[in-house]
Amino acid sequence: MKHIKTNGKKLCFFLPFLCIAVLFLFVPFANMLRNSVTGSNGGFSLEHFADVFSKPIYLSAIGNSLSISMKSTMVGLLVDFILAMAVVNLTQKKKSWYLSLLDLTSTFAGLPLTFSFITILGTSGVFVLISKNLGFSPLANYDLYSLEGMFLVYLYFQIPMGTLLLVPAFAEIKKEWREAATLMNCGSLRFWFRIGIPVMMPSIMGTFGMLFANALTAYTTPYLLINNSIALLPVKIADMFVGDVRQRPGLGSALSIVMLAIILAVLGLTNIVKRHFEKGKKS
Amino acid sequence: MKKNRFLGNVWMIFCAAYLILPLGVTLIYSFSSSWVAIVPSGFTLEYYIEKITDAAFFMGVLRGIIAAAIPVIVTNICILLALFAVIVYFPKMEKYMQMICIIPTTINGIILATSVLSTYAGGNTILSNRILMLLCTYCIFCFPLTYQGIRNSLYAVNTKRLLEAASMLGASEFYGFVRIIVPTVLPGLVNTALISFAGLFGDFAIIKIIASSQFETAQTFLYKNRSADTQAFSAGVVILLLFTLLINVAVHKTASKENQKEKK
Repeated sequence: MKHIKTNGKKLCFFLPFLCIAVLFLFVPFANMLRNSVTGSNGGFSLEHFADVFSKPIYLSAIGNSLSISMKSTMVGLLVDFILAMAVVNLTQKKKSWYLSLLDLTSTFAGLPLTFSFITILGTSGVFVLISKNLGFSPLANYDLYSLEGMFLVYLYFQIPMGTLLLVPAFAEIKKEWREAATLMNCGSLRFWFRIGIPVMMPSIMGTFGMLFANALTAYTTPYLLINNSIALLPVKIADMFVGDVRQRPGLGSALSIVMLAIILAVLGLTNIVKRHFEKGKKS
Repeated sequence: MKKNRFLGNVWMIFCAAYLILPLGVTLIYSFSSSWVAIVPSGFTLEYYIEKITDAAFFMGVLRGIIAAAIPVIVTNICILLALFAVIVYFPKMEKYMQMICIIPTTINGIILATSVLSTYAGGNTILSNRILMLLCTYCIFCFPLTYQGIRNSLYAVNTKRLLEAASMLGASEFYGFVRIIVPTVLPGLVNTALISFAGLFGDFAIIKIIASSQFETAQTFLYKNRSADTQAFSAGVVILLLFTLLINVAVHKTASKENQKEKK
């Protein structure tokens, strides 16, 4: 009895932490799972998932979300990789200066970032007005309020984040390898494709997962720019709970689970690739 | 090799220009009275004066600070207490705690916000208070980073040994923890706390979903007035940015201080 009493007192230290975790993480999550499989008549049903995978609006939301996330991640990763490669070669002082710039811009996201882009490229944006005056048509007719137009904003937040994640990975590439490869008459491009990138693959995959999840779940940017004119997963999910139209928590929960499944699938896939490339390392 | 370096430099300048462009244009735009030709015309501070003297905006910034500060402090206290118990009494609990703290990195923003909302909204308990809901959801978002930061600092100072020494001298473990360990690790915690704070202060998605009509921060204020004068609007964005910049500088300062200490 005494044992339980003293241990009970010690367990009290967990109480505040567990309270928040249970009440605002586990219970809502369980509730969401339950909502997604509860039919309109109250019993167990998969009707919400059937809706998600049969109605064109939700399918296009999934498709659009996947497409812009995939595109911005791929292009972002390429830009980041070259950028990180260049940053690593800088002198110490310049490097820390550039890294601070990346640090600063990585916190520049969400609403201020989106509005900055509207100031530049929106319908009455500065660059658009200037181009109209000059008769420079590609910029004068720039449509920020579309999937293609929004791509620039997505790319913007992928650059600092990805580069900051990739810079440490370049430390894994030893100078000696480069020298050895050069001695054996291996060109720069060949070195990177045969040695550099495979060695860095685990970090690249980790970065890929982060960037993809970041783009897929971005809510503020699409909400402010296109809202409901083009279907995207995060906006649709939020609409199901707080939208002006009829609220449908069941359907929203099902969409949330689909989004979660996509994230987990991508993380799982990147993990498999990671493992494959890590095989040779630890032996 | 030289050619590669040159191309690298060009690429870096290009990327830096892209990253600075939206910031720079917004900044210049907020100072100019009109900008339709290549060069903006008419330098003015009126939009800043308008924003700073606008009570609603000012209160919004203040509310944003409070809404970001409370969760950061609460999360730090909760995790400190829990990790104290883990290290001193229940070392086996550590992996479970780590698991809980990592979940929020996958169950991200809107999924958590919407599920919290649908679980508690409309009820009659204290939990259905939107502001409480918002603050607690923010707490969950601080979990991963705060856990990592506190765990690393507590292990770096070898908490267990220090507490054993303190208890030999007659102090209870908890007293020793509060009087010795917490003051030692506090400077290290400030760094992660500031990063979390900056993240929460910049949040728009969660507050929009959970409490946009009940609790107006600077972000939601700007959102509501987005159709107003664009220059005044840019001034508001710039003020928010400057604030974030300030936090950023503080983060760097505390981080470099910590590094120096480690070197000593």
